[in-house]
Amino acid sequence: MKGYLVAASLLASSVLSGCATLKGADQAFLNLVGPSTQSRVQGHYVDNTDVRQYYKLDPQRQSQQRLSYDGRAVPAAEARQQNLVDIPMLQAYLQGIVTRLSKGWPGELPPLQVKITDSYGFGPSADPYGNLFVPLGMLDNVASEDEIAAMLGHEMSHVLLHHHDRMAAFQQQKDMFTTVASTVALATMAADTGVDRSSGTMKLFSKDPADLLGTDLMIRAGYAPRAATHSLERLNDFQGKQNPLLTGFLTARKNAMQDSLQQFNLNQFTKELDVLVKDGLTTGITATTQYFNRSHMSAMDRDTELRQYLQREYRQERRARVNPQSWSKMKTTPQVAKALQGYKDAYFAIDALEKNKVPNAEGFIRKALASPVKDQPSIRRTAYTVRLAQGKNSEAVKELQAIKDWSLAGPSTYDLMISYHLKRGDGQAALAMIDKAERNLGSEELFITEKLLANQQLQNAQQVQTVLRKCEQYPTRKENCKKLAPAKA
Amino acid sequence: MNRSLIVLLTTLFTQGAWAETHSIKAFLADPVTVLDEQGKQQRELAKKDAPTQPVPVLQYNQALDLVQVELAGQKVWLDTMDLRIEPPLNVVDLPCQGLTKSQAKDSRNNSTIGFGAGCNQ
Repeated sequence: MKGYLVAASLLASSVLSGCATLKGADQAFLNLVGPSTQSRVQGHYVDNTDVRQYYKLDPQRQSQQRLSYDGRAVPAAEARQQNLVDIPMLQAYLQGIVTRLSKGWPGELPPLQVKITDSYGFGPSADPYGNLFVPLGMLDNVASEDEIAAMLGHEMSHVLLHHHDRMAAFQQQKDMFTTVASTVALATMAADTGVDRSSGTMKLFSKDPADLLGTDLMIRAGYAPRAATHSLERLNDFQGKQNPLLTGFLTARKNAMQDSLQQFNLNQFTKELDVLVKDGLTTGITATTQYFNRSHMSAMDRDTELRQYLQREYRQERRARVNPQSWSKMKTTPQVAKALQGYKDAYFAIDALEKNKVPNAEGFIRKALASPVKDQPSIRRTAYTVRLAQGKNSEAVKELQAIKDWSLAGPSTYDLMISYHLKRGDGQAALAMIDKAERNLGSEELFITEKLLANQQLQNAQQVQTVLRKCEQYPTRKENCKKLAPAKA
Repeated sequence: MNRSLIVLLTTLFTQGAWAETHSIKAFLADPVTVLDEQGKQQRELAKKDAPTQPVPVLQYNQALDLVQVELAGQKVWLDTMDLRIEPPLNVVDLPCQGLTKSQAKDSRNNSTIGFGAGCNQ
């Protein structure tokens, strides 16, 4: 078994070091999987040398990120995907928790902005620009402010520890998919081969720095750290109800890879890896990296690690009790409760549609459309879907047209409206909507093909060529653009 | 009278339900702290001396996050922070289907790192 571990480590490191163009790959690997045994956490994680390097912000890095997000240079795949939810009082409350947590960070702070999304998933997420996305499903299920603080502290930690840099490094080139795929495979095998994950090399896969730093921040802010274990239990329950995206895909390859690796047949292992990579590309590099980032360590393993950390470093604080009152008060405040109920009704409408119960969906969407959030993109988007199911196509479009604040809309909502204008041959209206999407989502790439089409409809030859040239910068879009508008010689 | 009866029945039913459904599957802390019903420390129990078989939970005090169990014939209170309890005390009320409304099924956001995996079907 020891040989297997050594072989696995060697393979992983050789794949990494073999990639000359990827600067910092070793660090990327370590940062993605957590601290190594050599750098095992002693004392409070926030005070560790590993963390101190992030105390000072790099002005150049900050300005680059600001340029990306304020401009239109965010790659399509990095643009926000969901509709945002606007409930000002709730937003302010969540932002207040982030402010309180921030005071425990000894270094300089990047901008951190809470945004509520219309997802009924449980886990929040963070992007490299400091946006902390809180899904409605999380707010619907947590029992205390302490629990919210635990989850926001975790997301803040991803931003503070620059985890996205590592992720970006992994995505710089397709070759690196091999690394991710192999590490996913190794991590999966490690989980399934009974390797003692609390010792030796596999320690790499069993600590989440964001959990540790998040917990430090919440304790410094006066929250009860036991809430972090509550949220991890809930996460485990949530995940247990899901089928991880790559489970089937990995299971299919896992046994063969495991056999060849255990037999030190690296040639066979490499062949299996090729299949994994090839198949994996159809699943998508993102799915794999997300699977790796999010699921390489189970919520229960994270919970166990966290409790050990708390017992070691915070013997008194771990006994503190959570305070359910503040969150209970916030979510029952009439304007917040009504808005949340509006979204819940819209969710029930979609649920009813999926069960082919159109009259029920109508009942729910009617309630949602009577709520204070009736003109927000997610609600109107749901109403659109209900109207389509009712065969009322023109009314469906009116629902989209009733959206008041397009800055809250996600790409798929924009897509519906842009497609509608293009189908009607209204290039001008399509361009106006594309401009809104570019400004609000920060990405020109997202709708560049549609932009080309709209300019063609307007017979604006000069703009068509300009857009076509821009389109060539985007590998996944340029072929479609060329097909739509062959460049003039 | 009726109210008292309801409270009594509810309490009995709840306790019965806890005993039937929840049990300590593992002692995570070492030592485990034995508490009174107010959460005050009574004594410590070395992990090596803790039961290795699942221990049924008799009661759960949600406000203090304590569970009552019987150890060596004596009813005691333990902090859930020291224990792995199955089924877990903290769960979600979220079915998987239809969770995501605004995202196309194949849409992804490369740039976010999250708290945990989402709903994938």
